[in-house]
Amino acid sequence: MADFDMNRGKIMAAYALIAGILYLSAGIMEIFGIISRDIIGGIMLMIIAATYLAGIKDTSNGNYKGLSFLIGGLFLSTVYGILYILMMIANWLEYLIGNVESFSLIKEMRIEIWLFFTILPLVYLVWKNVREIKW
Amino acid sequence: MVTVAIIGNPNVGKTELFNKLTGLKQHVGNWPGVTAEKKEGRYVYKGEKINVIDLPGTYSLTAYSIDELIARNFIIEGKPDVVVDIIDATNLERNLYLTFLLLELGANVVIALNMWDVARGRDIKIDVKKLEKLLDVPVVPTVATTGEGIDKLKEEISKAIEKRRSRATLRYGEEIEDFIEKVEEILKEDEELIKKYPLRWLAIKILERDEEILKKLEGKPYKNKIDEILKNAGEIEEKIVEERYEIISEIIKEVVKEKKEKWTFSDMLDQVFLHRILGIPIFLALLYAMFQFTFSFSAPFSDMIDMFFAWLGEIARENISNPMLASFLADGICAGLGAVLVFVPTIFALFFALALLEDSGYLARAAFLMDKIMYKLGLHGKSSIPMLIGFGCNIPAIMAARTIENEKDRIITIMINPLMSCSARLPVYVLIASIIFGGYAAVAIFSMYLLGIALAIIVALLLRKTLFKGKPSPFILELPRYMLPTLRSALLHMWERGKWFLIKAGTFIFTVVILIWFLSAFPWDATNGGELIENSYIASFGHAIEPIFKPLGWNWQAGVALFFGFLAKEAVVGTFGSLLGVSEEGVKNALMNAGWFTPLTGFAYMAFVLIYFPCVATIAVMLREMKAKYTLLTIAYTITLAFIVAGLIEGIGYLLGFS
Repeated sequence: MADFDMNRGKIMAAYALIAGILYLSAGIMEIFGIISRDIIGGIMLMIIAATYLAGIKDTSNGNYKGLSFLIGGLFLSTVYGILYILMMIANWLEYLIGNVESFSLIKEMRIEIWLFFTILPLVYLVWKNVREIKW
Repeated sequence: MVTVAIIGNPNVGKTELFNKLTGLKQHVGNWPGVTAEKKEGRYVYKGEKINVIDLPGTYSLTAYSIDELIARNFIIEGKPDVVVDIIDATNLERNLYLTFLLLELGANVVIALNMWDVARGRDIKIDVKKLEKLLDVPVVPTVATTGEGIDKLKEEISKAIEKRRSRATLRYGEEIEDFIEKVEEILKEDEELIKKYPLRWLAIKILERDEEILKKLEGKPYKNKIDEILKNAGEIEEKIVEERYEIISEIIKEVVKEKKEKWTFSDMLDQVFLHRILGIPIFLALLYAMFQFTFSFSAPFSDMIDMFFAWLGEIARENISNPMLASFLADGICAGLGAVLVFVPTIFALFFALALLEDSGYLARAAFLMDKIMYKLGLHGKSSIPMLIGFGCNIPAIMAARTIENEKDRIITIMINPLMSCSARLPVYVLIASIIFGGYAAVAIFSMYLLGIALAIIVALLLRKTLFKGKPSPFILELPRYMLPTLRSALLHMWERGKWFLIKAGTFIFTVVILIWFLSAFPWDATNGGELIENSYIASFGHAIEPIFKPLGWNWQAGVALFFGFLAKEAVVGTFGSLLGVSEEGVKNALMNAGWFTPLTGFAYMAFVLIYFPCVATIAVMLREMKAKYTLLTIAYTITLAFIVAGLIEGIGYLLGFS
């Protein structure tokens, strides 16, 4: 039996599938240096992708079990998004104190930050479904 | 003075309630085992001074763990006037077990039904009056975090001090009661024993084969009779536990009405965070994020501190005409203080990140995930956190080992921690590997981390088979509920844990830095005010220790660099710079041109830096966290192991034809 409306579940599952594919692609690109080379960072993106993808089936069937993985994925996306924003601020501070010669906001915007912004609508969709659930 | 003991299962809010009663600010964590030892506080109620003791969290009152023994012995020997049993209102069934044991022990119990707000939120309805009637003890609903119900609790404590209520006696089935009666009959003869312990409780503990109580019967004339009863009773201890739970179950049916939710938010998070495949990768992803935050975010702040002290040093050098005083202030005080304080942002950032993980309830899950792997390595599940933190800095890692309750497990974790390659060793690896391994430098550096892990495992297994025999203590961990961590709480935890680094380790390192300044700047005339280090005391010392390192193919400068590394591992690179007369940036080319290392001696040197003597700050923390003999043993084994491993690398490498 479904825990919530299956149609909403299918929308969230589709969004999670897109997020999973985006994170997986970004992870592969980081590992092979297609964008900035960061092997460990790439692996971390693939873990986030796996978390989203693990929840697709159950979410599309309207089960909270699947939504759990989406929450896990969104949590990790948020952690990494905020982490790289903080690191960007740290680099800007390094620039201000003269430790690095240049600072470009666009260059500093790592893919994790862009991806974090892309998942924000999914945060809203998931929140609408779980806000009634007790801690 | 009246004494009130606070007891309860781990993570039910004992410390929070203790703080609310006494107005103190003891550390509160969403992690079982915060109260590692009993804490004391006071409050005044209607003119009466009341002494409050916060006992360690415990599920039972057996002799199984130190925590349980502390709690039990305090109630028996300390004879508190009232025992406040804190119960998690959302989990009455598990918590009432301890209540029953307290009643059996004859304690004057007042129940604080804590987390009342959470129970309300989950639609758990508890008939407090009925519970009071069934147990025949006062029951007060409380919310320790907000202080709700604390006044009523104080009132009930005062009433219980004045006049204790009669309490219900837990009656077991006929079979068990028969055995209890038989044991009681025998024990009645022993006046000394029954003066100290309640007779019925003593009989039950004997039937439960409680080690501590059975020890007290050694040499008693009736011991054989007791042994005979125990033989006939068979596995009666299991039946006793079963019957207790049956009675609790009946009580629960009477007093609790719960609308069972199919899912809670905690269930959903556990579904993913404790997932059998994704659980550990997610744990690693969070740890990686924590390290990135700790070291990358703190970097500019460390640089600012470094720049500030460099600027101060320059001012001292330019404005003070006395060269010795200028050198002392610039190279000693400013450089020394700067060298210590640059670590402060890193340490505080790490503790902040850890506080977020702990307060959210995730840290308990991380330990649960790692337990299986750790147990096989002779380590405790909770050892994983200090070991992983050790890759950043050994100091907070060793302090994080405090969460391990079992002393043996905690000491093993601390003793192997210096083998976790901290970030301070990285500059040395980078320097040596880049000059001797070129394009393969990253592989050589990574191999150091793997070597550290492998050695830590070997040493842990050896310690477990020799000094700390036995298996790691079973890892019984109640997973706390998830909570949204607050900024205030995280900052408070960060400060509580980090300030020690500022006060103790800071002053200690600072003193040593000044000592090293003296050794490298004197004799003053011979070194030309610290410029000619070759003529300094430290150079003389370097020549004196040269024979120790000569067999490994290292010259006196390499030996002196290792000596400075005793202070902090980063000092190795700085020392090479001083000895080569170049800045840290230029040391790579100068060292390459000097030809002090071959691939083999260089690789062995990297391994030596990884293993030998943890830095002085780490030693200072070790001395604080465990007995001096274990710290000395750690120093001895790390130095010995460093020589053995470096020797083996060179020996095997030489046999394989490397130079």
